[in-house]
Amino acid sequence: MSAAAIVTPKLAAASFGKAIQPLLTGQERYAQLGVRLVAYAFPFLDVDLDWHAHGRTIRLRVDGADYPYRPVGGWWIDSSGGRLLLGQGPLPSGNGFHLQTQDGTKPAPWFCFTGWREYHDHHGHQDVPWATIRSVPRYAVLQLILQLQRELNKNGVTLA
Amino acid sequence: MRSIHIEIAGTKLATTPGAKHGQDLINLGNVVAPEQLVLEVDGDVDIAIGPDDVIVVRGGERFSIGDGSPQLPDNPVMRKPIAATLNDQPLSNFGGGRHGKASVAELVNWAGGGGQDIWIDLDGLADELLQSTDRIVVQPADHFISVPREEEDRLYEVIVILDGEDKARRFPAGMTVLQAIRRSLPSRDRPNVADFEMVDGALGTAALDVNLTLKAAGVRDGHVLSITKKNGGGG
Repeated sequence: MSAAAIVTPKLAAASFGKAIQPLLTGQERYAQLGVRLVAYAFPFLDVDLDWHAHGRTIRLRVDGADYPYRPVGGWWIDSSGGRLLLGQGPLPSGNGFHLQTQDGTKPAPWFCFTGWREYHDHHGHQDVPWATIRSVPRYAVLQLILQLQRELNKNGVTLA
Repeated sequence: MRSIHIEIAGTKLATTPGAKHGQDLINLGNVVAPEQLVLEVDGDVDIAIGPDDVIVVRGGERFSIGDGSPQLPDNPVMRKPIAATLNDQPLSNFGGGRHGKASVAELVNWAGGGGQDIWIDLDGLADELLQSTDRIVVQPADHFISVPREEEDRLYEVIVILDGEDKARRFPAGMTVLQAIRRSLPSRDRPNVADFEMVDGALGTAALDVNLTLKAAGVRDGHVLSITKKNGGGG
């Protein structure tokens, strides 16, 4: 089932496109920092993140639907764009990287960091509404991606 | 570059922000000797601007034109110390800030003397290196920093990626990584500079040692640096 759009796709595409413009026009800069552009077709931005702590990369899909009314969503994908589930490929686990749905009933990796949709959807994080931080530059889409790449390589994040 | 407006003798004039020589503003305002261009200072003594003085304009500064009779003092004593800082401390801590202008030589002396460069930190703009012969018209928003002088590789022009933006910045080679992070952060984050780390994309993935100078850490011209939080808060 697909959810109805909250923000007109044209407006969301313009907002999301503007937010990721430095990556689209400066791919080599971001590549040096471990974020490699793979593809962009609204609403999806696909990037490979260097996961040097484990000598590999992992592909991240960033979903800009309804941005900036809602935060961007994010999940791991395989090379054909399918959502990566536990057992289908190496996944990060621990320190905010989760392998099950938020209610723990189904495999569905997600990550729990402020500024990402899944974090703000979590019942335990309703004290930090997205609306109150969406204009804070620290939660700009590209900063979220760079920060996620750093978190991915921290001690305590294991390979599942 | 964006333009800002300053006011000279009641006329709004467009210019670019940053450090300027007095002569630039004298020309902009069509001030002809013996007239004097004068910076209006709320609640204190106004300061006459000499052609060789350096002044930072950020927008909103108001200048008047004196008729030059009598000539205003070249470097007036202020009623209250000016709330500018040097290395994050008020100039008054060093015995400065009592006069409307300070020379770079004075700033170097207050910073401990020796071979140091003085930079002025310009929010939203590339910081500027002051020349050893400069004299600055001191304003409350001025923040000066001293950096040990490097005879070679004095400046690195780098790209800093922070908060979704790429910004070209110039840092002194002798500046520490911690200072460079601090200078790159918006003002509200600067007190918490220790919460952040810097990576140089050309040097690998490890965060740079904040206590090293940029030169010692391996940063060079053209490198791409990113700043992220040490702890992204994953839960």
